[in-house]
Amino acid sequence: MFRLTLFYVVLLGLALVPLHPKSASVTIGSKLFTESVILGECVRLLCDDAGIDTTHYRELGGTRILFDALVSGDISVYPEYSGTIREEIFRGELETDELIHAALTERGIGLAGPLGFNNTYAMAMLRTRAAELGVTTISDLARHPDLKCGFSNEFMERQDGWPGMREYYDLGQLSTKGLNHDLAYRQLQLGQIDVIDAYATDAKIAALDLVLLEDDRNYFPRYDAVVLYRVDLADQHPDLLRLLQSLEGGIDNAEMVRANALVEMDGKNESEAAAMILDETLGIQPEVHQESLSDRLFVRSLEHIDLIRRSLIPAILIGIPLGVLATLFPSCGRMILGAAGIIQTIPALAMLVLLMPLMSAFGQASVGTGSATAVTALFLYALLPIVQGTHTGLKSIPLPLQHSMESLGLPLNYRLLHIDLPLAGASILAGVKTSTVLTVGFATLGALIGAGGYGQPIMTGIRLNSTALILEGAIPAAIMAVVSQLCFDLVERSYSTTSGRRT
Amino acid sequence: MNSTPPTDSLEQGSVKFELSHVSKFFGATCVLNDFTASFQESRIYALLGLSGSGKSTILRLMMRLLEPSGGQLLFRGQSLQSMDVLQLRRAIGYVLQGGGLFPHLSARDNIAIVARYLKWPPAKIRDRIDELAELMSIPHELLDRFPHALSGGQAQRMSLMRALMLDPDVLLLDEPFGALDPITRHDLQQELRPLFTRLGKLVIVVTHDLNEASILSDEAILLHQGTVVQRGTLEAFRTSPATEFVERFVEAQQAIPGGR
Ligand SMILES: Nc1ncnc2c1ncn2[C@@H]1O[C@H](COP(=O)(O)OP(=O)(O)OP(=O)(O)O)[C@@H](O)[C@H]1O
Ligand SMILES: [Mg+2]
Repeated sequence: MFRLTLFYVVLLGLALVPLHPKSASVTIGSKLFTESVILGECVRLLCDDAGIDTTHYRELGGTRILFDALVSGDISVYPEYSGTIREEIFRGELETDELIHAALTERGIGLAGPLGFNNTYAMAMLRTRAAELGVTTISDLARHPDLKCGFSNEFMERQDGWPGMREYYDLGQLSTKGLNHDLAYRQLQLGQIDVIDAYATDAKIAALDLVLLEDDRNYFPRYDAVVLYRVDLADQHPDLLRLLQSLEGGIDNAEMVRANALVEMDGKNESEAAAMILDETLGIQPEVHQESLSDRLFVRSLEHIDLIRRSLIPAILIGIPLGVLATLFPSCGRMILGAAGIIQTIPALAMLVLLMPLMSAFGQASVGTGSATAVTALFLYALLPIVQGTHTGLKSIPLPLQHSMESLGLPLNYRLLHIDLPLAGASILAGVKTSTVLTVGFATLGALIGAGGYGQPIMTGIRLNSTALILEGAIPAAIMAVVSQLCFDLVERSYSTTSGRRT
Repeated sequence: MNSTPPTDSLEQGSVKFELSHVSKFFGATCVLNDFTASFQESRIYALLGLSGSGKSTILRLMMRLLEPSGGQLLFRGQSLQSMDVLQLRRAIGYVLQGGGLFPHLSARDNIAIVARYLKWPPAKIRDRIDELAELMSIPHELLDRFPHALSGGQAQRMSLMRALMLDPDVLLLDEPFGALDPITRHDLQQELRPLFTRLGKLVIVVTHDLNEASILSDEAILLHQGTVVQRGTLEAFRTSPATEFVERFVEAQQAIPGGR
């Protein structure tokens, strides 16, 4: 019993010892697209320059995740758009800017900006074609009914997209078709279509030499870039507020388009793009240090192993007793196994979003590197194979052996420890192995909420359509899965050749 | 045969185990029906019967591995139900059909497991195992093998050693020689008979072999269709069979060539 307790305490200690104590005073978040990451980097470089300690959780996902994290205090700053605040965060229920400001203040959140550019929907044409036809505004389109438009499917369907716009500008006679966004750019270049929808700061606008038609009758809502921050943080760092305000109005659409193009077209990273913006708007030349591939791999491996360690060890410590309970009490066993089974079917993103508010409620970091949300999700996913392995192992001990161990007159806990569990060992080990391999793979999904590890380059790679970056995460993850599998195979082999361990 | 202790039982010793009107059903099938028997200390009993007649079931009831559907079981005059089940089981040495050694433990660890739980000092455990190994003529190097590396006869002896480890006064042996070749079986039977007598234990040996019963036991109990059909010496089985079934049971075994 003493040894078991020791085993538990040591393993639990291994699971809970924090790897990197949190020290940064300002945490910046950014969304899962290039522009947001660049703006996040702008804030980080500004803070660095002013000597404020920061961490930047990149590519945290969507509005919901970031805003909740800001309200709960897991991040302190993130870039947002006025239209998103109005339409998504407050669901269009607040009419005026004053009401929106009041609602934000009520949640302890301040707003700096606008930064200068307006990343709204826009109509784009090749500069040459537009000049040839003399089209500069959306109203001008009505004078050219033979123009062909290719719009993204989303834009075709949104009420505030094409259907609304057609009516508002009376463009009923234009011919339109819905198509994939990348395809639309290609067909525009080839002259097969004349007008496409685009985001106003899309990197391709500069690269393909497009012009945006002026929304002369103000149909599209404004998506002015702003920065949301926690008021309490600004109180602690009066400098920070001053820094954020120094960005106001400085970044125009052309500047942002160039910065986006630097990353998406020229293969530069977001820090370099952010440095360019700061240099050109504020004349600040921040230091951008490049991490080497081996540095990146090292840090990510640590983060990845950390996620696995903190989720898998508790899953083993709790999963095995749950498996024992499930065997001792078959009716409660059905419930345990059923619940663990249902957990497996919850999609990763849904699981993470469901867990976030719960983690915040318990005062844990809900997003960011090694966040409790990611660890808890991995823990829950890892449970089923271990519980099932234990349950199956115990159930499949042959009846004569069960009678034999019962007939010795040993109390249940002693029996379990010295006979039942070792006999079920192979099956339990198989369960732990499955869980480990699963967790190595699943841990990459933690990157959806900025948990770090090998998932991070995969997310960036998907965003930038870069196979090299995807492989930078996928290959080490695959290697780690294979290596852990091999280790378990070795343990399994030694287990079966000695017929088990000696007590 | 009689649920109340007969007077002659007092001459041989006091009653250790008593089963009265015990019945056992598995679902709707009746395995034991009004089974009544008493067992006295320092005596060796053979429990005979056809395969499936309920011999193992009786031992399992005595170990409380099963609960009876009806009737009463007494151990040292105390109802089994009212006893601490772990103490009951530790007071009885039980060797089950097939041995029941744990494959993940060496023979020595198998034998010592309960003593370790009871926190016997290691020296005492070692001495006791040495003593038993000598009793069973087991060479010492076999003790550190795992069960899969033991022959059937060796494993059977190890199981007996495990049952004897705590020196219980009751031994329940369920077909202890079932898996052995005739010669090994014969040798072991010859060795064990004087051993049991010397140890002065109540031994109940389950078997369907009359020959084995005659070598090992003082008294035999023949079971048929869930009840006792005859109880007494094997000589009495031959000379005055109680029913036609007893007659056939005896004849069938004599008819086997070389089966004596
Ligand atoms: N758990 C159980 N459920 C249902 N039936 C059972 C169970 N255990 C035993 N039986 C039945 O009870 C009967 C007696 O079984 P038992 O093991 O006592 O026979 P046995 O006399 O020891 O036979 P053998 O000589 O073959 O070992 C058999 O018909 C068997 O099928
Ligand atoms: Mg049997």
